[in-house]
Amino acid sequence: MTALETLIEASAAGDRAAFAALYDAAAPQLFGLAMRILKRRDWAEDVLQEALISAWRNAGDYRRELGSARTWLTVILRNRALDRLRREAAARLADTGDDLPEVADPGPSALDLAMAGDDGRRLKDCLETLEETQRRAIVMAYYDGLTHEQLSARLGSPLGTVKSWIRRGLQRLKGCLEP
Amino acid sequence: MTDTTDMPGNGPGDDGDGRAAEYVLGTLSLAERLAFEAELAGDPALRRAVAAWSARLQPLADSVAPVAPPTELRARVLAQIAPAPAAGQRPFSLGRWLAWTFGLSALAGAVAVALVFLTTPQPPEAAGFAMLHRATASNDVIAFQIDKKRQDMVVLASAAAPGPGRDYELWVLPPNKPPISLGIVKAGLREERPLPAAAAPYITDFANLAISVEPSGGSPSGAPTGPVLFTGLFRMMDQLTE
Repeated sequence: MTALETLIEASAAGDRAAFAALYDAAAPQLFGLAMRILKRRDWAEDVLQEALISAWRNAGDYRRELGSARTWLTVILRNRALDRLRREAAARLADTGDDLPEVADPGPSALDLAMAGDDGRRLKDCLETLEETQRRAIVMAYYDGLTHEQLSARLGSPLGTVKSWIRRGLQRLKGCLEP
Repeated sequence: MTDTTDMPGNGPGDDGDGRAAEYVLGTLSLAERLAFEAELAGDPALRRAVAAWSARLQPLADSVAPVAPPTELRARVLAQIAPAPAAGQRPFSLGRWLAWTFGLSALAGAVAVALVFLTTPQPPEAAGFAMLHRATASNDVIAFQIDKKRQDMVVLASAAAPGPGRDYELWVLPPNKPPISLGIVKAGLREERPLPAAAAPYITDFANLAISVEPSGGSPSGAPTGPVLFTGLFRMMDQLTE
């Protein structure tokens, strides 16, 4: 299979067949992530479509030295998904005065995550060195797309406490990954 | 190297790396995200911090089980990246064009166009126009027209404002050339002004136009830096056969 990096570079040159191959290689993983963050199939479909069209239009911006193609695509998808969540939350706030999503999904603990590959195992090991509260806040934030405020409500902890769990957790994670 | 000591703005209260981490994790509100993205545009060190955090957290994305998207989504995506048909190659259908550019039903598209044109005083002898829309169904629409002498342009933005400290910037995207700015577009306003001479030769039938979100006053680099929110195709009136 052609590397995603090559397919993005070919897409940047206008090669639609390469983009179709990129779609086939990357769309299922991206759709799984969109479903995980958005919890709604219709939103996930919109966001996947937006993200892939954005990838086609911005393929010329991709630079291998700045990161892997997988990460580049994930960033586009997650940005679109987070924008969608924030916009829907703003609309809900305007409608009902309540910005919390109706669906409460506890999500898996980090320990249940199937993280494969060297990078995955290292991240998993490092997540396990965090305090449970820090790990839980970080994992929920990543997969549920929650803001500090929403996490604070979801976890029933003060905003400042949640912010500090996340800040310190992320700092420790970085220290652990890059000793 | 212990890069915590030389990261951008590492002092208390302005921890660039910490904010990059939160941005990538996704805990910022919409306003905070937009403000951070505006800052990113002018700060390469911050962009590197974001790239590093994106790579660090990537295994979380990889660990999610893949889900097959609906098969028709593939066709929809590939149709949207189709090259524009050469003028005259097939009869132009307003309905098909609206469906294509709006990603909505032709009816919804037609309603949006009617709304904009009903509320837009026509410039003298419009030579061509474009309707720019968001990738998702939305009532926001930005209309663009030029006059027959290719000297003036009219932009009408029936759209929500881009957020504090941000402006919409309109671009024409010539094939195989960098985007050329058509200037700032103010949400909720109709504005008539000269068409930038550098852009005029590229405002041709089926030219791609886009609106990006930029720091207030427009892109500092002269190239789009923020997310592209609206896109649309420019059509010359004399190429419309239906």
